[in-house]
Amino acid sequence: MDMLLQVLVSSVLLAAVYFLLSLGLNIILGVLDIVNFAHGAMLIVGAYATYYLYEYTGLSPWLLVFVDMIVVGGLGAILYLGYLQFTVNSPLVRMFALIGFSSVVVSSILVISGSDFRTVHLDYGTVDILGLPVRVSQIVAFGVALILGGATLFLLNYTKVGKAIRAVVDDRVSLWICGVNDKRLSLLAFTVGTALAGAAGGVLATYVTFGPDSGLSFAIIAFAVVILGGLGDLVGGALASLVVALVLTSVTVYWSSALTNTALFILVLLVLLVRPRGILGRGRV
Amino acid sequence: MTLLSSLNISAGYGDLLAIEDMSVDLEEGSLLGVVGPNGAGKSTLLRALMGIVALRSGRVIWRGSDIGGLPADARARLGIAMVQEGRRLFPSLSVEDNLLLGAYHASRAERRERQEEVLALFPALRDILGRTASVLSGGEQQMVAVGRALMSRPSCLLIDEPSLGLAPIIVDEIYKTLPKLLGAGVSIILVEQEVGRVLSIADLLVVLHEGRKVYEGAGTEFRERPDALAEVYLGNVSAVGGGN
Repeated sequence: MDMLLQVLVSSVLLAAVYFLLSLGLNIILGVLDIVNFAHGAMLIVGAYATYYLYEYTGLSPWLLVFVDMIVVGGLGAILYLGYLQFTVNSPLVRMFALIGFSSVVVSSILVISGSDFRTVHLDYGTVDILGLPVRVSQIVAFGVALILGGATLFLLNYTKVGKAIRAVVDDRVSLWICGVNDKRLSLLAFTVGTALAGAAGGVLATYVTFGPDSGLSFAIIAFAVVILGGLGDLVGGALASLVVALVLTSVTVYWSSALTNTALFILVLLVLLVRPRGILGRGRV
Repeated sequence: MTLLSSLNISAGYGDLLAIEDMSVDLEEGSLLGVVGPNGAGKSTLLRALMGIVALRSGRVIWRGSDIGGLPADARARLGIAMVQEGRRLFPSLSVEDNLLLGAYHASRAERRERQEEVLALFPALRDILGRTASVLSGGEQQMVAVGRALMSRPSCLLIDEPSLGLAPIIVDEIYKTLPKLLGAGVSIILVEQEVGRVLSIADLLVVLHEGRKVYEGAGTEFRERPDALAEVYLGNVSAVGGGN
């Protein structure tokens, strides 16, 4: 019984991180129709930025999450302005460019930092939740992920710019007719999406150990959440995050961590069979 | 004074040339009706004027300046608005958000003021402001589409097939607003398949056929001789005393 409770508590805490992990990917895919193959690289840049800044400055890693957002968001803006905006009609070229960018990022990290796995060690102690000891750092990570996820949902649902970003997804031409320049909105969406990836990387740095290649496994989780939640459906994404966290934690605890990716693929395939538009049936196809 | 003109414009999609060498003029404060059978190029003409479809040749003139190279959003900011065929609202947004996006660049107070003006024109929208656009009836959608276009306080309104797929009683409601808009100083280009409706309010009528303008004449000319339009459609343009 204790084990089940542990799985549930861990899954809820992890779900918020997974949601944050998928948020940027979902926005970029939904608004720009860009499958961001560099999402994992963006995550890992955020993770390393937090690691080194924490090592050298001693600043709170939770504060550094916002620095990650600026660094990785800025990197995303440069990538979009410098290349991606010119590839609207060339999805293959775009895919190659994003994969190439990822390779450059991973190689650069290898050269600069080596292949050692790292993590941000935080010793904030533990607190009791339902009689179970839970690391305070995990609860703070949960809180930061919730705040960033909530802020993003607020931005998209309650601000003029956010509604215009949603309108890009609905009908780009109609937005032009309203006098709105969708190119600026697209740049904003890509920058916000990559900034969120950076933030997610920063949070992950306090949660797990990571190496130069770890971005891929995080990106796979993010893709699974986006597909299960339904493309463009952020509320569905939140629910999917919980499902993915429950499945991955259960598999790790009851079977083997080696089976997590297999379980993830089976889960995605099964859900897609019955809910092709995502868990809530509201996603775009 | 001429507000908006196309000068010998050609436009199309891929290998298809949908309109060719098309020239039309919209005078300030007037309604220009554009009619013609399916595939005549009516919608393409509007899309080319709005900047949604790129010109292959020719020029689009707005208040004396060539705007042919401007994108659609820039033309909208000049004062050209459009109601597209099929309404094309933002389905995931509420009616209110759809309307407010029509005045994206206005201040918050200004947007609220304009929204009140639109609600005065379409009082039925007041009760459904919070409803998601995807669940609206066709008539409600059309009211929102016209309302959204008016939110920018345009000088020129391009309307594409407002009667398409709607019950006649709803179409009547939509058409009742057009004289009010003209009275408020909005010039209109109205594309329509229901020739009778356009004829009843057009100052000038243009007939298109297979991507070309085959006739242009005053609305009164056709209203006085209802048979003349049929003759134009059949190709005998001399029956109404001229043409282009």
